[in-house]
Amino acid sequence: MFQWIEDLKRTLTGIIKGKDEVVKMAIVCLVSEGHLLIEDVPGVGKTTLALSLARATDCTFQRIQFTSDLLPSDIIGVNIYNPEKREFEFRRGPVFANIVLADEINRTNPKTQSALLEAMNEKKVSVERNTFPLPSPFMVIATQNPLEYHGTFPLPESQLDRFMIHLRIGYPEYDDEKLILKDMKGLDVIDSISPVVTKDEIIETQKRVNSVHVDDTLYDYLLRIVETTRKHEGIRLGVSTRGAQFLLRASKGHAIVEGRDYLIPDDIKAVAPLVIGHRIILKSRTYIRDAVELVRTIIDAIAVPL
Amino acid sequence: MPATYKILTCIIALIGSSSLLLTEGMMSFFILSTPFVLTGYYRAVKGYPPAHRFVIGGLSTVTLIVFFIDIRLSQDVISAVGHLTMLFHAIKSFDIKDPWDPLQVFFMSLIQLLLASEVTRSMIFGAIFLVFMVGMVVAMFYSHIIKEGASGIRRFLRPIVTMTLLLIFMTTVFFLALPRFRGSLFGRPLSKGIKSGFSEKVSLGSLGEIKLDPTIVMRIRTSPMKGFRPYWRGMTFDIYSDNTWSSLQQGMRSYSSQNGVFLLADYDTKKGFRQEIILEPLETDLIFALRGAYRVEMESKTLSITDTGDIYIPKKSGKRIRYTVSSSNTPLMEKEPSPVYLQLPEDMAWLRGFTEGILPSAKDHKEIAKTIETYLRDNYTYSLSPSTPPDGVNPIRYFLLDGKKGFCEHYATAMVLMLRSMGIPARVVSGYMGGEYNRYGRYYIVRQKDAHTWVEAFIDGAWMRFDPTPAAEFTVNSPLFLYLDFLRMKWERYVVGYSRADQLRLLRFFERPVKVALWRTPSLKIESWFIYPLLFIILIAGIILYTLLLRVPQHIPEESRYYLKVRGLISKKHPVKESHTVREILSHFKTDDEVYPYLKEFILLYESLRFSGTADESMKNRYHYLYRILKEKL
Amino acid sequence: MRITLTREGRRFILALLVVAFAAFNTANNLMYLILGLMLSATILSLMAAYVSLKGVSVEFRIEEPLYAGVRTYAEFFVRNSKRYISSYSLRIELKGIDDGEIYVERVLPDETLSINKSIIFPHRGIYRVSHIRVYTSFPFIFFVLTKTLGKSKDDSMIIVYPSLYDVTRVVEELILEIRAREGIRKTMEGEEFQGLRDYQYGDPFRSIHWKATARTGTLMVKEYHEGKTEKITIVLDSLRYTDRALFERAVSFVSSLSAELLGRNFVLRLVTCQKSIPPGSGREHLFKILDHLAIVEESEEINCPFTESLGGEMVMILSGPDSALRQYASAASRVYYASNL
Repeated sequence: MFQWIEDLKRTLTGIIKGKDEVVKMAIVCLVSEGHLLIEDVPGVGKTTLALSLARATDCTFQRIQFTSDLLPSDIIGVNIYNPEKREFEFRRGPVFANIVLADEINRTNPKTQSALLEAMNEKKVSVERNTFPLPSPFMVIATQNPLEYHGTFPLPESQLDRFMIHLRIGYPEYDDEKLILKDMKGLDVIDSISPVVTKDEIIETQKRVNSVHVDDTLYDYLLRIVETTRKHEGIRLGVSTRGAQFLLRASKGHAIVEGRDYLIPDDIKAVAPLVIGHRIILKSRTYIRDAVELVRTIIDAIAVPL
Repeated sequence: MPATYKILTCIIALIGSSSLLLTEGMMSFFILSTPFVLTGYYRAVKGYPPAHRFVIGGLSTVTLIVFFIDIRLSQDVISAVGHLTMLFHAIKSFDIKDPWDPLQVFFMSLIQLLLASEVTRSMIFGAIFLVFMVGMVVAMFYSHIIKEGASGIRRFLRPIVTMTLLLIFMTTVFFLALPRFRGSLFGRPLSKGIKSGFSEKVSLGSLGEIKLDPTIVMRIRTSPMKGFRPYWRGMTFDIYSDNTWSSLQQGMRSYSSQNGVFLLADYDTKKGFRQEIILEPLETDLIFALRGAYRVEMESKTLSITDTGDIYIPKKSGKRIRYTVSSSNTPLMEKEPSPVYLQLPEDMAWLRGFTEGILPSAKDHKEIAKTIETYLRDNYTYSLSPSTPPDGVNPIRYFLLDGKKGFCEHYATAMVLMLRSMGIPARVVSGYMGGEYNRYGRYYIVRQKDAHTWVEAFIDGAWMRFDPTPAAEFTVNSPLFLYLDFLRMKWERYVVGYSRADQLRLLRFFERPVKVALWRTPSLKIESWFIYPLLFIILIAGIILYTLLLRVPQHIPEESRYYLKVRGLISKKHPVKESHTVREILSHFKTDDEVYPYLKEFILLYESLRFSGTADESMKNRYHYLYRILKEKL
Repeated sequence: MRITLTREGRRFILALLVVAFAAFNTANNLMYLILGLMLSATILSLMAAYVSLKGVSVEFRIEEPLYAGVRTYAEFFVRNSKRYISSYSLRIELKGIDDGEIYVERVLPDETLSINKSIIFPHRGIYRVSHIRVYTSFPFIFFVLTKTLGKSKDDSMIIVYPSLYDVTRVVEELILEIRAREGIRKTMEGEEFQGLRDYQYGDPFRSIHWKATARTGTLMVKEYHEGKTEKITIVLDSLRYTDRALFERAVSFVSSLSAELLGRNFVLRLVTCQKSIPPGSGREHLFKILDHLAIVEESEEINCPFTESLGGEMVMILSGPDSALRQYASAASRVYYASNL
């Protein structure tokens, strides 16, 4: 339906080899105006993904390396006192870009984290009495290091909620990894990407997500998944209503990416583990169990609408 | 305990007691106990406290004493226990305290029903049993509800109705299927039997009282006899003396059965009249059939047959007996009769003159007999209460010369004696004549009042039947009566009289292939007016069952049905879970080039038709087309 | 499914046998009728109970966290997965966590009933549901059919935390003591003034230190001690206690203390003779601590891991003055004796 989606997919998979599913989810996230959180060990291509996505979509790109001494103003911008004009003027921070890569977001203190997350949520920045809208499209790709390093501040559950999709990239398959080694081009290749889509096209596509047709039984299906997470005995806190909204929106985005203007159960099934996984809090005694896996087993027990 | 439960307990107590009413000698105790039962349960329902335990204990002791006295006086354990149970109900009704008490009442009612079943055979028992069954289901449900402390019976209505229907069905199945054994180890004859006029010596006029008795003696299933009335032959009387007929039972021979069949003579089976007879317990060891019986089927080891063709069972039966007789109904050629059939009492010398007086001239024997038959029929009046002859006067002489009024015995005796006086061997035969044909059940109802005597004369080498008695008017019963009797017949035939042979027949019936008509009994040949209410009842029962057992499954969209069918086909090859989406199912076929393209298109069309909210006629057609292809390929 | 006869059922079966004998003996068809009724009542009652139990599953969820001695509500989900037939009169029994039963009158086809039941767990620790049993005496009371659902899985484990009580006063005293040792000055509104720093985006204007701004030419703000977290190590002596109740009291106290301190944004570390919980803060950390305290047992050996450098303040909870750990008490900011609690 949208040619650019196919082109974008092709471009990105050419660079990030063997990770078609990850690429697809990133595009779903972009199309459904969500933000992406990638959690994985360093060196599996988190940055490459974000960078390539920005390049291929003709979007402005900013990268923020989160460190422990990063301050909110380093992200959002600062009201600078101009002694000549004798007034404060706002200097925009790196968040004013279409695609923002927030690298190792768990390295900074909660205060700075929440500054970014507030901006993500409201798509605007308020400093004092002034409000500055963020550019459109706007998408944050945050990465998080799962290993417990000294001095990290893992995002609390309430903040994780703001990300639409929580991905793990994982190591590539053997063959793909071999290909990557053979085909070593480094980051240069990213520079050579030419945009396949304009910002306006993206915005238009994002609007189309709203008008994806959803059969009534699919709402029931979605809500059954959500309700089951609330009742499940291995889960301390189930999916919130906002989580359900995100799930619906991501599913619709998935439908668009798949080239449909109507939703089918597969859309929900495909995105649900990635959308729900980080929104539930498991009981302490089941820490060992992965939330995403748990969501998969839950979905596997729910009958799809006929 | 809810009031309904107490009322139900009361009803079950009364059902039990009323079942005992079907047996004799219970009425007084029933009348005695019922007011107490009603008062007791009224008090319980109104919430009065139970009677003091000393009162209950005292009354119980008194009842026990009454029971022992009862047993000594009546020597009848069953009726004594019956009385005891009734008194138990009366006392217990004042002592309904905890949920365990009604259970005792139910149990006592069950015992009453058992007692009744031992004594009665009435169809009313069936009705009481049915009511008891329904009552027990509800009552037991109630006891469960009370034990579990459920909120009430309302939520259990559906299972109650379902269970009742199932219980009725299963009870029927068990009744039919439980094994029956031939004889009982011990036990006692069940009822006293109907008085009959059949004994070896019968004094003239003894049939008179029977002729007013409408009690049913037997029911005979056979094809209707058009044009003549059937004579159910019983006993032959040979010698008349002192106004009494007696039977010599000449040439009594014993036959033994072969697989329940007695072959008395060779005869072409096809020409015979088959009669299936259910005989009520009679005070005689005689059984009845059309004359010329050559084949008898009966559950008995031996049968005794006299030369005259009277059939005797070894022992007078206390139970209803069922047997099937095939008769030729044509006179069998017999050997020269014994001179007994020419015997006349001494004071009958005048008779020859009298007889010759009515005969025009000496003719052959047949003509003589015919003339006498006609003469008696035309010139004498039928009356069940003829004037009694003066003392010392021979009743036959009085009948012939003076009274000229009498009933069959008088007519038959007179004719036999007249024939004998003319030198023609003759004898009196008694049995039943006619009977009412019940077209609903296609059987004859024969009553006591159909008891009859007629004449057999040996003419031209065979015994011929003559009946000098004028035809009496007979009453026609209402269809309702006939229908009820039909039901009674069925009850007696298929419930009370259900036997091992029936079981075998049923078994054989189920063994046979289905091409045999399911109902070969004539029960479906009943009048059409009955069909409609029956259909109506079946319809209602069907609707009830449907709503009880089946809930309409969730609505499945039309497009999904084809997909569901396809999924059903696939599930035979690959495991399919309800949580699998169409595409996941499709992935099983990735390597199957034969099916994959079709299945893929089918599935895409299904998704589009089902979820896109737009439906295109051509897509639907293609979808249906693909379904048909897939059906073959899978 | 297991079948047991009730008292009524035994009597009924006995009566049935008598009637059966009578019927076979007399060949009386009416008695056969009664026998048929009794037999079918027996079989139908088994069938109905079987059908009633078939497809019934029970799940339960207990609102966690759970604390010993606190009334909580368990939610039971009784599901009838049959498509057309309702289940009636079910009793549900949870062996292992509660002796009470739940009675359900009816579960419609394909329905899931949710039932709340209050439960009190008397002691801390792990409760395992050894099995859930569903039984019914439906429809008559002759038989009880029992179905045992799922033997204990890991999922049916329930952690009950030690009971918590109000230790506000104790904690306030403790904080005062710690503060006194640190010598931190208290400033206005209870916030601790730390120093001056450059203005950053987001700082409230009211916190600008105008004097310093004028002095330096750049905007300076006062910096407060904003919940700057303090590290506290709680040491629970779990060596042989003379009295079990005393140990429970100590555990309960440590739990309450941890909850209160974590509620006040302290970074807490717990050390017992079995395990050391690394420092952390926040509610999730409290659960980590309570997870351990729920199952901590008296230990026999003195290889307690807290001889390493602790850092921060230390609070010790000892069984009594004669505890083997008394030797370390000098390093503690505060020592509590279980016997005095």
